[in-house]
Amino acid sequence: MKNVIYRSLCYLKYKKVKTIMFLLLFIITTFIVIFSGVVKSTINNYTSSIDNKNGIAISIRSNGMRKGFEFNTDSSQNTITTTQINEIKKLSYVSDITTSTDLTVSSSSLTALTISDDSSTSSSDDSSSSASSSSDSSAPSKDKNFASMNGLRITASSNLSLNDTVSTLTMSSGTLPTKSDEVMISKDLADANSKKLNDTFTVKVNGITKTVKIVGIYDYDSDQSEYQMRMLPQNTIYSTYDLASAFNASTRNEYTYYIKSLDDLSKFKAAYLKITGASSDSVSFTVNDSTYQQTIVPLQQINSALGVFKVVAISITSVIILIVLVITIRERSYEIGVLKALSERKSNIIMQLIFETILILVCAFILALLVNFVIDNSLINHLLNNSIFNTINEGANKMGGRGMISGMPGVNSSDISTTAISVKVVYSIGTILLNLLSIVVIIVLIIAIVAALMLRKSSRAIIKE
Amino acid sequence: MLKLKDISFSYQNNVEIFDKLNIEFEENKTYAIQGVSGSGKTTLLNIIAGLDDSYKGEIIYQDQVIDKNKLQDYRKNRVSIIFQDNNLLNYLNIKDNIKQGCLIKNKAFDEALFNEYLTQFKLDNLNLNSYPSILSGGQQQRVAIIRSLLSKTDIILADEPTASVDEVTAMKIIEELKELSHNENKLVIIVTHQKDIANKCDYVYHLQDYNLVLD
Ligand SMILES: Nc1ncnc2c1ncn2[C@@H]1O[C@H](COP(=O)(O)OP(=O)(O)O)[C@@H](O)[C@H]1O
Ligand SMILES: [Mg+2]
Repeated sequence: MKNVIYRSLCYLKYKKVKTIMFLLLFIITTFIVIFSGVVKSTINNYTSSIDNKNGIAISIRSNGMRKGFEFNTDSSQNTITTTQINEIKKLSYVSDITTSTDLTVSSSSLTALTISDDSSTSSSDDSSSSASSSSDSSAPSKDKNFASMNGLRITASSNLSLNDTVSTLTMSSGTLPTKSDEVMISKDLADANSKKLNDTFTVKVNGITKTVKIVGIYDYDSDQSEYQMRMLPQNTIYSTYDLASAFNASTRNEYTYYIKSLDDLSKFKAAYLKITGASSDSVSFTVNDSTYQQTIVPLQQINSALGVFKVVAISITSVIILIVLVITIRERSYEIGVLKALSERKSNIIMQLIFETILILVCAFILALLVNFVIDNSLINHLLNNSIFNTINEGANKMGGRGMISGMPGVNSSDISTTAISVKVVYSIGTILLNLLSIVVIIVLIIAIVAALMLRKSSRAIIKE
Repeated sequence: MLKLKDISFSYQNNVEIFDKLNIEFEENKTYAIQGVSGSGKTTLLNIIAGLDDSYKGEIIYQDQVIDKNKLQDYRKNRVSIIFQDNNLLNYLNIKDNIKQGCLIKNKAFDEALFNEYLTQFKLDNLNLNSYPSILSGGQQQRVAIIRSLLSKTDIILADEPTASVDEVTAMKIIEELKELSHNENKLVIIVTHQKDIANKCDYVYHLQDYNLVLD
């Protein structure tokens, strides 16, 4: 055995060009194989972390409660008792329930932004047609008609976070509100009222006045489409749900239910209707699987593309190895003939051929692993964000609806493409070793078959070939 | 010492090479086997070497019939074979090539004897770390012969060992093989088509009509 290994090493040293060629070939193959394994384990890890944290959000509305984008103030049909909430919470596939509400507020110390004249002219056709019934002169009527929509609003949520609830916003300064007297306002609103971080102002709802503190300022880039919606997203004040409860308002509560998997949706619907006693046509379910769409779908696309790539790469390498082995059969057959004439065992001769190749393979594997360690993180995240950008562009129209329903600014492609997500690359040693093993098995089989076929002939015949 | 009894042989294409061939070889002797090209000289040597087991009949070594599944042991312990050319592994240096004979046959490598042979075969001024490709045909043959001798087998077979070598070297190689068979108690069988080479050997056989005929 020692002698077989020694001969292998001498051979690799003597055939430097061939050795390096094989090394490169194997590095490419093993890199692809390792990389697709890493993508797979990364996806698995990321998918499970997303499922655990957020699940898939489902918002439920009573039908007929909304007219256009205005919410009906009669919320009697929309209420759901605490007992019912707790019952829903107990369902095994429901991971979380959050509550949010929109309130119209007035403030003596904060003046709402209004739609400026130039923007109204830029969309003059649209605004004049919708406003024409109320008044003859367009400018004042606009202010009058849309006062409530353009006034200050509080969006209070029990799970306010920039990533999920307000994914289209970016934090300009400060933090998200966590206490009942803390709020986050837009930069435009703050600038217009000369407010800074940690300044306070009063808000009045239902005759109750509260003093709140600005702990966060967010950025919102106004967009033409928002004006068409007749509301200024910059007028939204974000707060915790505690602030909303403090006003005792008959609010339009909005519950968002998070289920662990999209597969549970129909089960959830049935359970919800049963618990609340609502009829199926009186409520509509809005599934917000945008997190899922934005991250897992692109990851899975990469994964399946790599799966195909992997199969192709392994097939090509196997064919190249086969061809190289057959091409060098002349030179090797002479050498095998000499060894056979020297009474070397067939098994040792095959062992030598296998050892030479496996040695290169293992070196290539280690190098490919190192390369993977170095570039995986940036490569996977780059691929992912590229893929997300494409997905968002394709589905931009579909997803625009999400913002309107939850009272948030609409999502458009330019918003999301700048929201780069970053996944943690996960290495699964089991998968990596399994991949190595499968390559080894393929190569050993190829060599053993080719060599065994050659060794069937007598040594003189082999040499003469 | 070595007897072939009723050896018949034909390749898969049914071309008959031998028909009930009988011959007995003695130790201490050098045999030459002659015959026209294609008469089966190489085939015969392969059978004697145990490299081809598709023969009919018996190979009897020291009064024992060699079982076909023991051919590998017989080849490993008793026989070394030298071909016309291409005897060396091009990726091993000269010394490693010579050592392979012992390593494969599990015999101890005799360093002193190795140096002795180097001098005897006029290879002592070679760089032993160089690869066989720099050697001339004659030098390669002598390296192969040293490898055979160091593996200390009783039977040394040589298939046209002098074909790629000039006449003077050819004579020298034959002289050395003959001397070895006498001094070291070995059976040497040389296949050659050169008459002057054959005449140097103790016995000369002709391969004709599927059989061996003494000259
Ligand atoms: N592997 C083989 N398969 C079929 N026929 C063979 C094979 N090797 C040799 N022969 C044929 O057997 C005959 C004897 O060949 P060989 O022993 O090499 O003759 P020689 O060495 O005397 O020139 C030739 O006719 C040759 O064509
Ligand atoms: Mg021949």
